[in-house]
Amino acid sequence: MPDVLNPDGRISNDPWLTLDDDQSVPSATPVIVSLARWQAQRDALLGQAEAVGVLIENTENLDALPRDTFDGAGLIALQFPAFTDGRAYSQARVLRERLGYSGTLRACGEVLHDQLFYMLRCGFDSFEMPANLKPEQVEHVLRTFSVAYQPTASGPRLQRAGSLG
Amino acid sequence: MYKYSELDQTLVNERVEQFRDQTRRFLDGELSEAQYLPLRLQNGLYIQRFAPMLRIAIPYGTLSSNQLRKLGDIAQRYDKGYGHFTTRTNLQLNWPKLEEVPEILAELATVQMHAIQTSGNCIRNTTTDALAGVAADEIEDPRPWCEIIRQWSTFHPEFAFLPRKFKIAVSSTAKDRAATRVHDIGLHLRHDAQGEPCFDVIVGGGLGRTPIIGELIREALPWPHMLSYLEAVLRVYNRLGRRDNKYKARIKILVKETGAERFAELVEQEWAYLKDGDLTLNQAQRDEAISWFPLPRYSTDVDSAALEQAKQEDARFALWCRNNLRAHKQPGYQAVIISLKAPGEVPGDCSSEQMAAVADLADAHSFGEIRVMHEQNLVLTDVREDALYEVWKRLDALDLATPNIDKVTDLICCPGLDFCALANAGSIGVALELNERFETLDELYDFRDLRLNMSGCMNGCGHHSVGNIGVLGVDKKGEEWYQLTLGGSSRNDARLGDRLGAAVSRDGVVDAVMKILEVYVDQRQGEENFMDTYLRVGLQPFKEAVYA
Ligand code: HEM
Ligand code: SF4
Repeated sequence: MPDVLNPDGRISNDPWLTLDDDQSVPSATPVIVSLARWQAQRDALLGQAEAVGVLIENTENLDALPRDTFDGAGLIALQFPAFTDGRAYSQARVLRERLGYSGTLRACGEVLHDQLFYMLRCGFDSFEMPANLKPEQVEHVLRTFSVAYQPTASGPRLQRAGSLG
Repeated sequence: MYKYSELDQTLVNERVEQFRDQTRRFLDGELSEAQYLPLRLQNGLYIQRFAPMLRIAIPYGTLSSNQLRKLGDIAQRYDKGYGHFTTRTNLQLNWPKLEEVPEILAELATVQMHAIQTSGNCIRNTTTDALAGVAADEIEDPRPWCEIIRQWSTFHPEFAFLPRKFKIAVSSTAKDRAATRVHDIGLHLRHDAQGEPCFDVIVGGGLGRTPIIGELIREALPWPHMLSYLEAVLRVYNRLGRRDNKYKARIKILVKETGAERFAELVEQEWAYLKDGDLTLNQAQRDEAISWFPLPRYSTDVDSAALEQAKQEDARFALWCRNNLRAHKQPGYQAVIISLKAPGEVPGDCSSEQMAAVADLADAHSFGEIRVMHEQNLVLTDVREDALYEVWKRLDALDLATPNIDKVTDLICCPGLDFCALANAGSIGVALELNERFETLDELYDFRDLRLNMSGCMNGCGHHSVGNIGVLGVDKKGEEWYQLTLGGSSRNDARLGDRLGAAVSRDGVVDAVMKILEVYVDQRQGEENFMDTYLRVGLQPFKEAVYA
């Protein structure tokens, strides 16, 4: 199982299994499915799997979705196809601050450790393990900045930045 | 001027440590060039033709004397003893050593400076009128608003990886000395019917390959909503801006492809969620921001008679007064423009010695403050009229008193082939030659209010497309040629220049400019400036003269 990084600096095995749309749902495993599959089969999925997460492409306009779209979702996985593609930062804030999503919010794709601070500030609280981040560097990287100017999901302006552990 | 709080200082110090660590990892081979690239880019560090280039942020062009002294000192110790002031009022060092950059940043942090977000696809340094707070024609001081934007945009977590770079400029005069209409967002600060500050919001301007003049999308935005509205614009851009093609990634292309009206609707929709939220500014915040820029303690006993006397006696001084001073709000004071366009000098370059001397002059005569102009000159904003002669003598001795502000030889020019890996043609060489040719003619014909801008390639760093006369370097089978445009402007009457005709050769370019100016002298009526004459007579007479 691949590793994920948690905002408190712990590195843990990732229990979530990402399914293709035509893959059947194993029992006793939390699974991540596409937004389309989630919308079509939500109740069935919730009955079968231990927990269900939703993968959202970074081109998705979250404002266009019905307000209850993510009710019941245990995780939302947002995508960074390249670290330079910052669309998911906006999606994260919309999910947290506008849609009131309070479950796990995971950053997937090209997650590099120099971006973790921005991601935390936008409301992410789970990260695919950055490729060349050494466990002994984690603590340091998460604590690079102790202050921030902007009010965001993780804290108001001009305060010591919120969830840096 | 604004002084760092503990928060600002902590942030900048932590940034220095972060970059030190990143550079060490790169030099140790832990980070690849591709992984290091975006990190150094967001610290203003480019790798150029011969050496790295470091761009240091000068927020809205305002420097204290200590900061300028430190910049001179850094240029002396870590570079070749000079720096280059840019059109976005930053300072560039052309020859720093990569391994020394973390040290340079640490030195900058000791005087409340940094290179954060001076490059990369993020919100860049916000710029404004260099005469902010003192100009006689100003509606309201834009600096408090610029500082609020600076704080909001620094390390904004959502907007560090936009489709492309993003530049904001604020102006509060009818003249628009900040080129706001060629910025991604231009804010026009003015008063509404009740006398409260408000902003006209212009989006989608920009130069580069596809120069576009920005469009007004919101009139009279009440000041409490400035940040929430900016955030709405940025979020729409972050979500919808094109990422498939670097040359179509600026917000100007999104606005153009969407249509300004539809774009404004999208922003309003987004803003409906953000309005009245955490970013709303209140009166206490506004008052605090205003208090960051206290009025200098002006004297009311300035004796202006001595100034008239000196002008009578010294013709060179009188000429400089005529061309290099700007009207001040406070009676008895003038804003002094320090020309960085002396004949034989690269436009915008300033030596360490000059920086130190200007810092001393600012301490002695201008409340310890210096501004950087979009036109790549410096300003002492608050000089007593009875000190002007003294100040001029010092500047003259430093080769900083060329009386050419807003004249042909006060041209804007990019680094071109001499430094830039992307250049098609040299621009500095042409600038030097123009300077030589026009040094005397400028005065002879009293070319005032005339903007000549030059870029070494279509990226447009030298703002050629908004020059009254624009010169663009093009490559023709490996040779350097120059495309001329006429009638561009970045003021409130902003427009893009019109192509004169086929490109001219390196040998012919200075002559061509000469002929253009001859036509102007010949056709102008009364006090008409170049732009007025051009708009009246059109391209034809110029075309005929140049291609005769
Ligand atoms: C020496 C190396 C330089 C390189 C490689 C470089 C590269 C570029 C490129 C590629 C663009 C186009 C960006 C775009 O279209 O999005 C650009 C635009 C620009 N550059 Fe530079 N540049 C350099 C130096 C400078 C200097 C010294 C200045 C200031 C004097 C400057 C000021 C600007 C400005 C104002 C723009 C236009 C911004 C706009 O499109 O709105 N550049 N530069
Ligand atoms: S305009 Fe072209 S040549 Fe000049 S600095 Fe910009 S990229 Fe280089």
